[in-house]
Amino acid sequence: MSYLVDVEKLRTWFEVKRGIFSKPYYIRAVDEVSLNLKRGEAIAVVGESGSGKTSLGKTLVRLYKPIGGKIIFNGKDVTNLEGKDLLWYRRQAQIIYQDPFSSLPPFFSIFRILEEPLLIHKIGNERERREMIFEALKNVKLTPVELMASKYPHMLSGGQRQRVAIARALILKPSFIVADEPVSMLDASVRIEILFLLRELQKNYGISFIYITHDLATTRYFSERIAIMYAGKVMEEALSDEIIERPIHPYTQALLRAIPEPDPENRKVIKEIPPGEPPDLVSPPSGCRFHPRCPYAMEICKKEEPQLREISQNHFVACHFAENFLKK
Amino acid sequence: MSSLNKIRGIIDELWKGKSPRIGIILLIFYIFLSVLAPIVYPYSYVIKYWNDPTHWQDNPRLAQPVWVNYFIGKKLPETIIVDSRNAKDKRAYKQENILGGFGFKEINIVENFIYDYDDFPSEITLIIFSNFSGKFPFVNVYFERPDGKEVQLISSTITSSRTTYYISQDPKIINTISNFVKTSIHTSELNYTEPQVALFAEAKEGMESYRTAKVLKGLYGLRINVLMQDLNGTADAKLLVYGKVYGLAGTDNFRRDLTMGLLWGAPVAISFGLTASLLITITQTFIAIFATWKGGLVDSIIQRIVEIYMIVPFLNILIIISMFYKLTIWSLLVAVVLLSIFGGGMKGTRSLIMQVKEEGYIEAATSYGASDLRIVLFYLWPRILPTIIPGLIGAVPGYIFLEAGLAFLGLGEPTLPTWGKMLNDAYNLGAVYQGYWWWILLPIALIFGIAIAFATIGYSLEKILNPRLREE
Ligand SMILES: Nc1ncnc2c1ncn2[C@@H]1O[C@H](COP(=O)(O)OP(=O)(O)OP(=O)(O)O)[C@@H](O)[C@H]1O
Ligand code: SF4
Ligand SMILES: [Mg+2]
Repeated sequence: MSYLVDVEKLRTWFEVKRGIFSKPYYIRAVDEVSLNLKRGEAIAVVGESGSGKTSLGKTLVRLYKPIGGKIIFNGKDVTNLEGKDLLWYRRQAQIIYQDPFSSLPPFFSIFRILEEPLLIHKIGNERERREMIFEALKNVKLTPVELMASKYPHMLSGGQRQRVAIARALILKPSFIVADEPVSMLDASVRIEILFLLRELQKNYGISFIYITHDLATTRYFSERIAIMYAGKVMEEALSDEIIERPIHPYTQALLRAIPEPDPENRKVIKEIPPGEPPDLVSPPSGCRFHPRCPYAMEICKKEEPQLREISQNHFVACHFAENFLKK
Repeated sequence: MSSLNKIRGIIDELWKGKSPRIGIILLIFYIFLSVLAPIVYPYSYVIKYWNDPTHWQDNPRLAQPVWVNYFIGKKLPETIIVDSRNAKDKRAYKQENILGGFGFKEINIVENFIYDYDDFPSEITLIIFSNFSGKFPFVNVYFERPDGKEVQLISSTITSSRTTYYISQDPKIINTISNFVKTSIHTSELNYTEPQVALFAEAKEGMESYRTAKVLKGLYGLRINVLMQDLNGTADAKLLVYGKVYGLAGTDNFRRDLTMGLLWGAPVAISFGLTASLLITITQTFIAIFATWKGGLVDSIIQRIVEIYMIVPFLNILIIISMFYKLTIWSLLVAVVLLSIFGGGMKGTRSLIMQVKEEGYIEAATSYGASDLRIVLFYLWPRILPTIIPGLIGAVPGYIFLEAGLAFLGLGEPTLPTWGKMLNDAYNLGAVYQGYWWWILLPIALIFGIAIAFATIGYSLEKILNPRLREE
């Protein structure tokens, strides 16, 4: 099968220098992540804070350079592109940020904000660009378009700003978009609206989509598949409904438990998983990175790192005892 | 909303405050002066004549500004010039006779003027212009007073085409005047006579001294009688009765019209201060952008250079440089800019850029393909500009004071008049002790005024553009 985005053992480590003479150390934000994405497919990346979701997303759009692994985009290795080639990739892959208050330059009008990508990629003449910008505003339902185009970011609400950010991501007609917690900083009242808008646009334009989120509860409505990240690694990956209904990895189970369960009976059934510090990414735990917090951890979990394996059809889990949890 | 509208908005907001409004009014005043200066006195004229003493001969020495009359309620004399060469001047007339039988030509010149001031002139000078060949012409000069008395001031031969008689200084003439005083008040004892006083004083006891004499107002006349052999010869006379007030700003020791210096000081100070501040701020910002963008080694090297610059005694070096090389104001500008490029201001700019660089829209711009250059020009600048402009404006007085200070030490611009240099002249000639207040106070007032203008505007801009300050 051919994928639009095919990620292999991607590693993004951040070098941290304490002084000129001391040895630098590394924050292993993304550590050997493999992931793939079909054309027009949406995959959600879920994990608690600091698990490396943003780092993964930014590496995929090449804002960060990985220190290892590969990103194959449409059959082409984009891992180490530079200059003109990188500019080409920047037209194909877009990112929508978490914070619409900082992601729009405050001194540009909405028109100019949307025009920038077109100018940079030398698309269209003035009249064509104008049409494209109005079209994009219409797509994200910011009307009347001419009035909206003349405004400045500070005149808009958070939801409206995020619509501008979405329009900006769409205006280059990309085939791949990373949306990094696109609604987590918005008022609860507009979150669902924006998510549905994103989903609609993603489907209409057949865009491959990585949707980064904390919110496992609603994820299934917006993505075909879900990948669970923990400490820079993918722990479990499967179709959305499959993960929500049959979570295998103890960490996924813990995450799901964090979702308010409608049936009070169910709440008692699930075993307590001790909370704990998210792991140190500088010197992560040996073996399975989840072992210090895992209620099922055995000796082997401390020594050997479990690989991501297909446990049932299209359901991948990185746990030594995955089969046991499957049976339960 | 265009950037023009934004600027209008900022000015409106400035206008609302009391102190920035004073600043704006002051600034408009100085801009007006700066525009006026080259119109009234063209640059080439200033360059040519400011330091040329012969150009200022017709002006009184150390005269106060004219407007002091309003304050002291007395009418101090202005300079009276009567010149027979000037055909339009009806106060002078000339008549020539050929004394055929003797082979002589006689030229009679009469120069009349009304003197109705409350104080005595400061000096009197007569210049005779004469073209002749052969023997030297002979000249008699008579001074006629409103009270009918007459003094023969001069009786001598003219030996050149231009002869100047310093009536108030020439010992021979003073002696004549002294005799006139003696016969007028019937005394033989007279220690000294102030010629320009005695000539214009009522013929009473004490007329020889400024302290005791009273001004005799009315019509005065000078009769000049020239006898020459050359029948084609000519003679003319220019009488200068120097006053004690002149122009809007008075004159200095070299009789220069201080209005010109004060007026020209404005564009010089503004362009020096603003250019220095602008160049330094912009180069500093560019270096800071470069350093933070490159990061790593480049950044730390530049940081160390800045720290070295911060402990180097900048002013001392500047003074040493200007002692060895006579710096014009423009080379001084270059020196100041070079010595400040890595100045301490860089630290603040750098940390600001570090902060702005982390703002989301910068990374977003990278994500849709903006080049580094585009980000610096279109994304960093518009964000940084409002934060550096108040500092830029606020720093202007510092550079104006620097220039004035160096000029005051005699290390400044040699040809153009600057306020600092005027103060230097005033100081060197003891203006403080002699009470030549206008020569000192006017440049000082202008320097402080412009400093206040820039400082208040800079401070208020800071509050408007950087609202965090406003809450305090
Ligand atoms: N540019 C960077 N330089 C150094 N360390 C970084 C950088 N970006 C992220 N990190 C570190 O990498 C780790 C993973 O961060 P990341 O932002 O990818 O997590 P996340 O899953 O997106 O978290 P959140 O849910 O809070 O957004 C964190 O420890 C973070 O401090
Ligand atoms: S490998 Fe061991 S520690 Fe890791 S999740 Fe599975 S059981 Fe828990
Ligand atoms: Mg994140």
